[in-house]
Amino acid sequence: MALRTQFESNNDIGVFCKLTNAYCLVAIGGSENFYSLFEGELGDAIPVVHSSINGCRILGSLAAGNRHGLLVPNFTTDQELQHIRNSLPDSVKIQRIEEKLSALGNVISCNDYVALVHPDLDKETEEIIADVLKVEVFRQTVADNVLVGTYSVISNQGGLVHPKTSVQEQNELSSLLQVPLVAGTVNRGSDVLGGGMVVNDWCAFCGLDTTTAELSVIEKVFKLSEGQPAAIATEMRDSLVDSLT
Amino acid sequence: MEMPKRQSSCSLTDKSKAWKYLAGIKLSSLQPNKVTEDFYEEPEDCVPVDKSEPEVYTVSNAMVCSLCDCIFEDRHQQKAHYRLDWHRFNLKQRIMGLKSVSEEAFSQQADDVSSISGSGDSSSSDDEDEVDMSPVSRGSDQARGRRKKASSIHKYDSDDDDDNDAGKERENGRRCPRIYFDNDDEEVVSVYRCIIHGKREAPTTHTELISRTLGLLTNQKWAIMLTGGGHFAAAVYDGPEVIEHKTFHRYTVRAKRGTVQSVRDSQGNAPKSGGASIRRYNEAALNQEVQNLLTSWKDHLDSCSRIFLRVPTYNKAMFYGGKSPALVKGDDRVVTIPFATRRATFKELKRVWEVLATIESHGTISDITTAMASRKEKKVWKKGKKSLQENEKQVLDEEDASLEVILSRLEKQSLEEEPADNSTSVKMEEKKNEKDDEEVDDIELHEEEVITSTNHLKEYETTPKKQRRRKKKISEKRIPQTDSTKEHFDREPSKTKNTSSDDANPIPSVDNKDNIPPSKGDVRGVTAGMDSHAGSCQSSDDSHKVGLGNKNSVESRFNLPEPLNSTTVFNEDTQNNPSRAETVEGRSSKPDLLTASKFDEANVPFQHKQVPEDDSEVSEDKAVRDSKDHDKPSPGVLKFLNKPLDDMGYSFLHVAAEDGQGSVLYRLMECGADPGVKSKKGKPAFGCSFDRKTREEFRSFRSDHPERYDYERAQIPVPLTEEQEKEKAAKQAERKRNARKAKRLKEKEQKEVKEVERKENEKKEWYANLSEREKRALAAEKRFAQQVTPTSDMQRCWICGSSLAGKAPFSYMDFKFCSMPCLKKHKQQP
Repeated sequence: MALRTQFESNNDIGVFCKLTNAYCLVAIGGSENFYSLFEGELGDAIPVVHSSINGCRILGSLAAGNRHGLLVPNFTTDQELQHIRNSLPDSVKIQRIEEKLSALGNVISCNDYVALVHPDLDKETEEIIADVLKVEVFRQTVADNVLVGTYSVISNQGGLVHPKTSVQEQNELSSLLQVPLVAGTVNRGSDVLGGGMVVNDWCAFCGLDTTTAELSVIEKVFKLSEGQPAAIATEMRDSLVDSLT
Repeated sequence: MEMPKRQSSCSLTDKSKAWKYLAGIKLSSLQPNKVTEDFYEEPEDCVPVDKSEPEVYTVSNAMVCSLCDCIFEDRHQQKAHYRLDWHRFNLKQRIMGLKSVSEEAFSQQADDVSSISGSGDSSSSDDEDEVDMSPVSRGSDQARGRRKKASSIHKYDSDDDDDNDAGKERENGRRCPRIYFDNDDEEVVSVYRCIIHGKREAPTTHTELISRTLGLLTNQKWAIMLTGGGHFAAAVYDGPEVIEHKTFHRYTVRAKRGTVQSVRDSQGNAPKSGGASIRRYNEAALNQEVQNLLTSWKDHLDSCSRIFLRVPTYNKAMFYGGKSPALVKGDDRVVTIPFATRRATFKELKRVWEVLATIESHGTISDITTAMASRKEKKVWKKGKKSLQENEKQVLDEEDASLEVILSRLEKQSLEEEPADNSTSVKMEEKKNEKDDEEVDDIELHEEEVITSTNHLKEYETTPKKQRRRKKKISEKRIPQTDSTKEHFDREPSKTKNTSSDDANPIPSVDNKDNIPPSKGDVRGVTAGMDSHAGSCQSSDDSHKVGLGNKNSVESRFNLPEPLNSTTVFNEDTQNNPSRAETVEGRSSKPDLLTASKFDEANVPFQHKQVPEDDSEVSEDKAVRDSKDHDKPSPGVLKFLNKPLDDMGYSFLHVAAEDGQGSVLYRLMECGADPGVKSKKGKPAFGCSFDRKTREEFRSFRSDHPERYDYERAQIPVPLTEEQEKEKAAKQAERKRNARKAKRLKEKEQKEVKEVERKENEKKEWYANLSEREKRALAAEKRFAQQVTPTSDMQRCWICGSSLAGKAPFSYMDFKFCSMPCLKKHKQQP
């Protein structure tokens, strides 16, 4: 199911949180509304952790991860790293990356199996991504945008890409990522998908401005309405088994 | 600037030649500025979200990479492809808006391209290199060279091919007035852009541009109109021949001003002079004439393919104003002339037409590229400039040298002119002083020794009283040293002469106080410059003449860097007047002592506390000091720190506070000395504070360590907040101001009292000095005056009794009255 929320009256919630199948990082906000929504929705399945990166709340833009691991930029303080490490399950590897393009959330878009990355990313970084997140890394652009993390959102079920992505490119990307893709928007027409929403295999959160039409597209492509027991047993098994143990 | 050799031009009207020039033209790659948007519009490849969305989204099985234009057979191949450098290279090309590269072309270039991935090496220069190295499909050597050239000189880089999609590089360059074409002969030809299209109706495609250019040859009916400053010239051309032409001139511009009258009028405060009104009238008349002319030419103008206009803003009304304007705003045919024109005359019109209707050929493409390359390399101008600068510098140096020579010559002359007058010539004295330098240095050495010795003595000092006693002792000690300096001094022959004469002078009353009025000597010292050597030498010289009493003042006032100079001055007198010399020594050594004490405080702060202690405690003190370095006092040390030291019950803190050793206090407390420990009188250390600064130290400690000690017991108040501090400062300032006021008042009073006293004394003196006869005369005078002026009380009006003092009374017989009515009254009385 997809929920609409706001972070301190800001609709770009993807900037302030990071949601994966194994954990959820939430920025430390002025009020606990944002956090409690996540906690209420996810608390019994995965840890919802308050955190910051170098004192910044924009951890959604700065960090990238999936259920296997979490990548944080070089300027993350030791304390923050320690806190995250202590809060996340042991199966999640956490790695600090020394990379010029330090907003990793903006340059990496990934699910548990594949990742699209910025074409200019370092080779070493690419390797680290492959190792830590256990994904296949593809350097690609989305509708001629290099910030793939900003302009696309993918989960294991599906993906949403920049509204200007051509059908041809969507097909290519879809075959590359092996997930169904659709071009769409969030927050009443915003093309900043990564900023406007977060998603994992069973839950999605969008900005409060997101229209019903946008929500329905999101629910459809990320298969959020199909919370059938059968689906849990088959499609969502990998992610769930991991988090339940 | 080198131009290609094969530069030629021909008129557009010379049809056969022009055809030759324009045969097979296409837009040249060598545009100085590019206007990409005009001609090359990329088709929008964005696809809107499909309205009829499929119910179920599926994973596509399109195994292609449209970027690299290749098809994959299986997933492995696909994955492998995305790791290839080729794919990444194409990605980068795409991001930069360049064409993709085929695999073969890429592999050809692979050796050159060392690294194409990674954010680390993606500097802009690298990118440019990559662009230049890009193996473009048509990439012949020449084409690439041209591309490179074009980009390096920031020229428009469009593709020579007919496909228009390569000109994606966006650069907001100024539109170049000329437009360049490559023709069939590999030549670059250019025409003025304005004869092809205006600003608004720029052709959108390449073919349209070419067709329009070629259309120039058939339709050449142009009108050219120039105006400015009362002149007007217009002509209608059909090809080379002038169909109509007309010029006007009116007096509209005042010669000294240089602008037409309407411009002056529009600035406000329009002049009412006759000349101004004439010009105003002429302007209006010219306008009317032009408008009339243009209406009569209407047919011609309508059939013109282009109308070239040179019109200043204030004359625009000529064409666009009036009831039936000759030209319509927004007319695409109307263009401005893209070069400077001279006064509007028919001759100028002809010139303008010739310039406009000319096709320039700039030579072959290869010629131009090589010419540009060579132009870029040559920096002849800079070199020339540099050499010029060097020449100038040389000349200047020579001038300097000659100046120096002249100056030195002059100096020598002046020295020779004033041979012996050492009291007036500063230079001479400086010279002499240089001779003395050796001795002075020697003396300075002695001075150093004295400092160390006083320092030594100071170690056991605590009170200023003792200091004074020490001082005397030191001064006594130092006498022999001055004697030794005397020996040095006496060797100087000129000085000994002076001193010998000096010895003969009567010694004035011994007065070493500083308030002696400044002598000639020290004034001279000041004028002789701040050079202390010169000053000291001078003053010493002069003081010999003026008198010994002044020497001290001179020396002390200047505060010379070599304090012992004073001793050098006085050394001759030490034998004559040893006691005086001693006091002088005492004074001169005073600063030493002070510095020594300062030195003491700074470096050996703990010595003060040793005063009442025996040796064992001194060693313990050392331990304390060591422990302080670690800031972790052991219990023993703590106990020791807070133990009373003497029979007064003073602890270390008490001693430090009494002595005003703020920094020591702080450290002591840091180390664990409790400020709450009280002396036998029940005084905590804070109460014993020497001054406010010390108390502040306590307070600052409290603010830094709010929980450390029981500050209530220690009676240390809370540190002041900033506001309180400000308030306090304000209060203090007020108090100070009041005090100053009071002082001033007091001084004034004292002055008044003194003044009265002084006057009295003066009178006394004056009276005392009078001779017997004068005194008697004075007394007589007084008596007489008393007789003449009866007591003021007697002078009253007889009738009303009012005082007559200071009035001229009305009187008859013996009666005196204040006024006429009174007198009348008295007279009428029976």
